[in-house]
Amino acid sequence: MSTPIPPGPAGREVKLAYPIPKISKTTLINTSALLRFTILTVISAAAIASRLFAVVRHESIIHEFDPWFNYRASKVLVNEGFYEFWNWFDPTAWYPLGRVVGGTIYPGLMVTSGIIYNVLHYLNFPVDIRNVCVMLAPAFAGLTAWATYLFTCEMADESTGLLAAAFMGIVPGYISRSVAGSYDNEAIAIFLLMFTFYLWIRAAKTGSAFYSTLSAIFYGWMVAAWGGYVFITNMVPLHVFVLVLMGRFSNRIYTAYSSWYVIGTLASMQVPFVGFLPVRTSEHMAALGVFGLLQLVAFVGIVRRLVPDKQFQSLLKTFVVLAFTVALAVLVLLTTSGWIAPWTGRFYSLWDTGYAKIHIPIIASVSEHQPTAWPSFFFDLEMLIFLFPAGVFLCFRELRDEHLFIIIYAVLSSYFAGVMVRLMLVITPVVCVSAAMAFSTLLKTYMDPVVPSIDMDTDRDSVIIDEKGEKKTPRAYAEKVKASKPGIYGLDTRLAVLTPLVCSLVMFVYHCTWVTSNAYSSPSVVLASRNADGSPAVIDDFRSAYKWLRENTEEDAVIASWWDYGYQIAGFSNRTTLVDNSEYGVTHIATVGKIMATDEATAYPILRKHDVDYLLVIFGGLIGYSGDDINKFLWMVRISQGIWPDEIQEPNYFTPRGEYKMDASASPTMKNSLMYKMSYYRFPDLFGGGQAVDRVRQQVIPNTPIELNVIEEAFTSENWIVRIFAVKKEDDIGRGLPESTAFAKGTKLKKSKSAKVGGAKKKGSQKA
Amino acid sequence: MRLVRTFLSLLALVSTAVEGRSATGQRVLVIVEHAINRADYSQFWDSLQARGFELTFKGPKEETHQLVEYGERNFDHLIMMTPSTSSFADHLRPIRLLPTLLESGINTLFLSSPSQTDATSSLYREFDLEFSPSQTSLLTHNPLPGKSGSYVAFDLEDGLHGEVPLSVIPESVRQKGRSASSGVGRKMVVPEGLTHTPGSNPFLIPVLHAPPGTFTGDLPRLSSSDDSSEEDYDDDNERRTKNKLQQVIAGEEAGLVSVFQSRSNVRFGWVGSVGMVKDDVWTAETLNPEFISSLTSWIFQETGVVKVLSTEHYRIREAANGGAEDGTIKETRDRFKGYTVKEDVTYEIALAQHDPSSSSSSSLNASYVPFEIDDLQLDFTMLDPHIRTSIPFAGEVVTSSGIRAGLYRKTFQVPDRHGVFKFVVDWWRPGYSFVHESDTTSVVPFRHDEYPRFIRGAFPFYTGAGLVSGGFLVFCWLWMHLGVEGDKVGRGNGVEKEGKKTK
Repeated sequence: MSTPIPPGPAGREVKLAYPIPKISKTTLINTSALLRFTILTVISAAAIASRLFAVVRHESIIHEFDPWFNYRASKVLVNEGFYEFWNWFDPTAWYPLGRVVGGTIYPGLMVTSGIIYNVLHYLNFPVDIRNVCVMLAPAFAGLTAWATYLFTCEMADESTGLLAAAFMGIVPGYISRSVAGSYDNEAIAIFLLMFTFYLWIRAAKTGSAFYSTLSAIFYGWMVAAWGGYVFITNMVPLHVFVLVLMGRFSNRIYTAYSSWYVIGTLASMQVPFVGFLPVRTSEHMAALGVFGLLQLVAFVGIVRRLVPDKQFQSLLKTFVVLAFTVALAVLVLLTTSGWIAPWTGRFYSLWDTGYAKIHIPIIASVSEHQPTAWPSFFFDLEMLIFLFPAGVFLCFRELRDEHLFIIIYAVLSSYFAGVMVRLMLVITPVVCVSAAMAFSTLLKTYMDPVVPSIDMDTDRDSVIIDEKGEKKTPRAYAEKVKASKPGIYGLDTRLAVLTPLVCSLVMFVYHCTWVTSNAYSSPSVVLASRNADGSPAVIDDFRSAYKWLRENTEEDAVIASWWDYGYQIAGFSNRTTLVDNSEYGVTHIATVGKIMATDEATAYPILRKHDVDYLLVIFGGLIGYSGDDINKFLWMVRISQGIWPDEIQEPNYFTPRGEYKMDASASPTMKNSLMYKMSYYRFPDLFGGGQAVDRVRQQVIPNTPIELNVIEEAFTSENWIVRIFAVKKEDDIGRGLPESTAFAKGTKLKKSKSAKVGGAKKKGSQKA
Repeated sequence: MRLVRTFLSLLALVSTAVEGRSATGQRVLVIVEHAINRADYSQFWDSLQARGFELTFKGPKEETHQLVEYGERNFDHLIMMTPSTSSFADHLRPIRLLPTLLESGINTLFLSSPSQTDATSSLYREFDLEFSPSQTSLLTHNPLPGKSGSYVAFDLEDGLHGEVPLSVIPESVRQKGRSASSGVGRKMVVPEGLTHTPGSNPFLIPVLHAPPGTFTGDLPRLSSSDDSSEEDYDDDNERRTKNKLQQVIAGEEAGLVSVFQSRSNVRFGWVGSVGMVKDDVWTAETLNPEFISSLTSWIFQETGVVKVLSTEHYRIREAANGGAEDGTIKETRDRFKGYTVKEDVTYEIALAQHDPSSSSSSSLNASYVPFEIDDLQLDFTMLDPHIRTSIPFAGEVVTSSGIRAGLYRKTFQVPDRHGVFKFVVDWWRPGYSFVHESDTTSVVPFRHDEYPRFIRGAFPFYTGAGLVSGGFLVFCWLWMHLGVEGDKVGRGNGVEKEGKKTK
């Protein structure tokens, strides 16, 4: 990895631990450039290749939930053009409210793939938009490796950059969101994040308005692509703020930040979904504040030059106090008067992990928003997580402006990654960079063939002719030698350290490949399993159910399901859904929760009011698919309890002993809920009189047959994962649906519903 | 016999071709139980055939002549003259019969008698009708001379329910009934009527109830010696004691004739006495022929049938190329994806009523006439009605299929709310087909280029933006041209130095 160190140009003999070939300086530069290019290409190729497990194993298919919407939106963009996409009103989502898609999404992803699609078609590559979407994430992962290389090169040297790029290319923390088919905002956002940061560092280092403009443009792209752009919005000002506090304000910083802020904010305001948020929400106020601060600092600088020192001190104090008070007062005034939106709940949940669970169950219910479990750090980052602090420490040792950036990034992202699982993604790049710095330093130290000698300190310049930024190392190194003459003398010491290091690298690659292959390459619409004889089997219940919906229901049929499946139903079946994954309206989601959580009689009017034709539930009890609706059921209860606290109460769904059970001890409310009934309808029949065991919850389901009155079973998939029920129309002759069901089963009425038997009035009672 | 039947059916065929009076069809299946002699009711059958119905007679246990085969109905209407039958052919068992009737839209007339079985009564309970126990009958203390107490004759207006729609019992029949009070005759005659109490089912329309001075009671045995079906329940003493009336019902509570129209406009009727259509009372002296005829006209979809011929909604826009003569064009639903909020939209609905009297041509279309009412209402609804307005009659129109229809039209402004809306016309009036029309459309927000480009309220902002831009240019110009060369450089370096110093 590290460039071989030639002997000093002065011709002085340097003692070497092992011989190195004599190569001319030009050859060395040329070779290393070629090597860098080749290695980077290979890294990108590896990054792409390792993400193709899903395609090789299954097929070129869009994964999971959100990507299905993005894919559908991309199709609209490609087929109907940009303006139609922009003005796209989707009447099939959030029935009957509809969704103004163009104004409520981050269009960056779709626009990116649309551009790629159009360019390829212009070049006469007739690529299907689906394949563009599937392959977008791996392609951008390759670019991310390159961006990481550039970023790290700004921090340390090229060899560190290559190491960081290699880490970034295959680290599971990033692969988890960017395998082929995972067509989500994060797929391109991490590349944009790294590239924006790289350009920002370049701009801050050089004070170049060109680089900060580029940085702002990539920031604009990032804003268009991912809601996580707020991270950059706060990272960059924080970096500047810390620099100012440390007294490192300079015209370079001023130019870089001012250009970045103004152009970047204008660029971000072009995204319809963002609009005026950058000037009206608290999340963006830090950037504005730092922008103001920089102006003040620059102004103070000018005043200082013009005013004598003594007056300046008092002037400065007054000015700072005044400016601070006025700014704060204006901010508070604007916030209370409603011009600046206060922090959103999603943000509070970042500070207080319990906040969302109490106040906004809809956010807490998302598995991605749960706090991170500690094993997942090792799972996603392996040895990098141990090297990460070492890298940050190395940054402290040098503490140039850009190293501060790494430190701030590391601190912030460590916190966020601990709070929310999905923010693992944000910490991954900085971990890769820091770990690469630590690892590279170790390697460099132990691969350096120079054996310390006493007279080394006399010509410190001759030891290393290396990249800039490395000049301090030999000096520190030499000073150490001078003090105590410690050092690495023999080949054995070198091997003793290098061998485990290389081994851990190999282990890292092995781990990454294993995790990618086993944990992150499942499309989740197709489940992989094994037959009894060990041969691979595919559980394709989702797709068969969605196909059934597409082929057997009316085109305008309304499907009610929990919101997780909304995008898939829209994408696969092209049917109208009540709620979907966009978390657009809490009341609507709560309505679906209420339908699922109440009994038939309560649910029926709601179903009819919303024109629901079919109900879809996911039931994993038969084959042990744990991500089913019963395991999500408590969230439905909680969310609808938030809207109808009088009608839905969470404790009613537990057994008297407070357990969440489905067996005979389940509470009556639970047993009467539509969710329970739909999930276990006819389930005990499968066991032919034996014990009906739910394999997810390991509980025995009572054998009493479940009666459905207002809905009827329409479809159940092969492994019972997807169950679809049709909602009955009102009875044609005005009976209640339970009565009409009873009639269909052969029960005869002993008494009519409301007519008097034999006449009840006394007044006409004459005897014959 | 066979010859007669062939002749009759031939006659029926010819008359169908000429008339086609029912809106849904002329084929009637008549199920007559063995206890009833079909020939005793020949006047009734003749009257139906004269109106163009083809009658097919079957016994209750005959499996042939399914009502519906392969999803297609073989008969359009059904007459069940099977009060005392307790076991039916499979397709006529209540559990099969009711869904078949409702799904296929077969209109049914049920005829009862005091010998009605429990199975039949429990079927009627599904319609919220409670029949009196068997072996009971409507009785009077003042029977006609020579008749028993179970032979009740009365003026129509004494028994007619107050809210019977004119489409069921038209004014002409009522008029003839009224003349009975002036002594001419023409009374309603109900021999051995089994009464029922109609429940509160909103689809149920009680038509005829017991007249004053009558009541329900056990069927008098001595008087029924001349009843042909007497033998059937003679030895059924046990059931009679069990089913004894707990309470006597009389007057308005004791229904004799009720009709029912289901949500999907399938019609049913119950006549409490088979005897009402028997030949001995089907005479010019009684009102029964007119009454029963108007009743069957309604049940068999001849009267009170309203049909929605078409609905349309569109917006009027200025024609870009002057396509239409008045400079505007109709944009129909095929040409756009939805209405924009706050847009004017026009909704049209064409209604026609079936006219049984028009026998001019074989075309079914010609049998419709425009339907004019003044209480039609339109909802523009998403979860809740956002707009609820009357939709007035706008004249006659001839539809593409050649039917004359009444056109209703309303123009209104779409609310400022996007979403999936429905145009709902809901017109439920007893005695008429229920009109329920729902057209779905979406209301979309403004497109990005549909907002006004310049608005007056924003002029301060335009001015502000212009001033800042201009000021910036002026500042740049001043900076470049007025600054002293040396000073400019010094200023830049100065700050740089300060920055470095603090470091």
